[in-house]
Amino acid sequence: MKLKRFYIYLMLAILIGFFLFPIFWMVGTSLKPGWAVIHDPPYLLPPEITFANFQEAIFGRGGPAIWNSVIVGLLSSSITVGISIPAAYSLSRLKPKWSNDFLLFLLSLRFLPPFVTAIGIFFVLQAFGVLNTYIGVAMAHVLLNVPIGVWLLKGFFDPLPKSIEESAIMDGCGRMTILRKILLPIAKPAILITFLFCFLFSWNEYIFASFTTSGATRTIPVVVSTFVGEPRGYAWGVMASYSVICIVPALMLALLMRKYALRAFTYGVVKG
Amino acid sequence: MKEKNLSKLLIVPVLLVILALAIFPMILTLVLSFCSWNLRTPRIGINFIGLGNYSTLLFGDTRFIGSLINTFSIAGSALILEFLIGLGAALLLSKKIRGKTYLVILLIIPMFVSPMMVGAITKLLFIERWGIFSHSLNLLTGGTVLTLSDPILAKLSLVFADVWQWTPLVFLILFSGIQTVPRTLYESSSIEGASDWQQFRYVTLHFLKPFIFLVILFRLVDLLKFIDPIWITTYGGPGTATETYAFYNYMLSFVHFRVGYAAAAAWLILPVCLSIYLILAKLIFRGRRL
Repeated sequence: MKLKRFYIYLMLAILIGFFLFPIFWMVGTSLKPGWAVIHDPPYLLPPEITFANFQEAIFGRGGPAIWNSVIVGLLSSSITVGISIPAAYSLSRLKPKWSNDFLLFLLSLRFLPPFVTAIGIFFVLQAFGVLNTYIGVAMAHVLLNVPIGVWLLKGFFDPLPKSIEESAIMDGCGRMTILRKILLPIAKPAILITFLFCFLFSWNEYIFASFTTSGATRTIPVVVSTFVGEPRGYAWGVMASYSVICIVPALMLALLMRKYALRAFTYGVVKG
Repeated sequence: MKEKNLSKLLIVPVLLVILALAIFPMILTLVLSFCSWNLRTPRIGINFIGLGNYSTLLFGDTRFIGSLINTFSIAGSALILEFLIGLGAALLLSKKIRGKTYLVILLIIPMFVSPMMVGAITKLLFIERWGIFSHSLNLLTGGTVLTLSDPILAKLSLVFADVWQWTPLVFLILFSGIQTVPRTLYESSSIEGASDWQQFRYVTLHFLKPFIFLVILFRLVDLLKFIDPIWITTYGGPGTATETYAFYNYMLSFVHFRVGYAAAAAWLILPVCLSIYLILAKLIFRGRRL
């Protein structure tokens, strides 16, 4: 019996090691000086720790990307949550006949090949003159996140107690006031979680960000994509720093919102 | 205001966004797919060529067919590995283990990383001579393994990228599926003398079936869109060995700017995605009010 226990813990160790080692390697690379990154044989631990890579990442040519990612993330998440709340309220509380069809329609958007919409979106945004602006990327991300927003929020609204709302209706209170004054205050944590997941998806997104931004408005993933084919060790150290900067908020969110990870990544179809 | 009207009014903003940024662009892309238009040669302008793009793609474009083959080979390998490892992990973590919640947190971390960064990580791990994975391969084989310059190894590095990032999701889905199995079934089957394997086969697997379907469908459709990690890891190389369908489509749209042709390539894969979606929708909707 003891042997079985041992094997279980051994396999667990291998599993955890497999999923954590690459992150460890990335952090290590970001702290290595240029010559150590392209050293053969590779150093497991940085021979000397340097912050030059982070300095270049934050203050160099690609530095504004960090700020851009933050702005685009906040902007797109605010708009997404802003328009998803009424929709989720309608589906959860007013329960119209078409609510199932609407939810399934939203889900279908996730299954579209990206370029079927991407090429068209490029021209639409160009026509509105918002290419290379924050609002342009943000709207693209709004489109990507709205289905998740509505599904998540509806999933959060459904189990909230309806008794207060019902007595308010009987007292003649209007539906919109109920939404504002009764549901929203209780739903604050749910709204925050939805907001944070939308932020995360926008923060990590590459394809739509790549063709709606350039130069001054690039987001972090777009900047990192420019490190293609750089054989110089110093450049890779900087790339690793960008990756660490990109991963840190993601890690914090993973810690805080682990309970809802399953819901968010499967559009609320599977509830953890 | 009547409730019926209010319920419709409240979804108007969402509908507007979807109309303007999804439906309309899709129609635009569809129309473009029947034209030849190269944004790099604006003077030639748009020409209507009917199904010309589609026939070229299917019968005249070996690079396109190659990208499809690459997509299926990478996607297929990744899916099998993700399923096996994810299932194994889910079963493993269903045992009595101390600190289970912390382990789950650690395991789901890769899902939260940007796919582009996963590409960067994969590159750093696999690059010849300097990456620790290729270095280990060198030690094992005694020579110098050209990991990212070899078509098959390059594909495998991308399989690694996807497996690393998304096995945790497979794990999560199957793990929550295992939670739905009533404990008493295990106890009673043990009493009846069932072996571990028999319990797995007849109890666990039975309850896991819908979750397995779900996870395969979700991963399948995401793998068809596989592109982000490719940029830094191999940029479609060596040659076009790691060009997936989505990568080639991106090249056509935003690098070569042959938008008509790219639009056709995009719409060509739509029926596949749609069928996967319909199967999934049927699965989750079976009688359930969402």
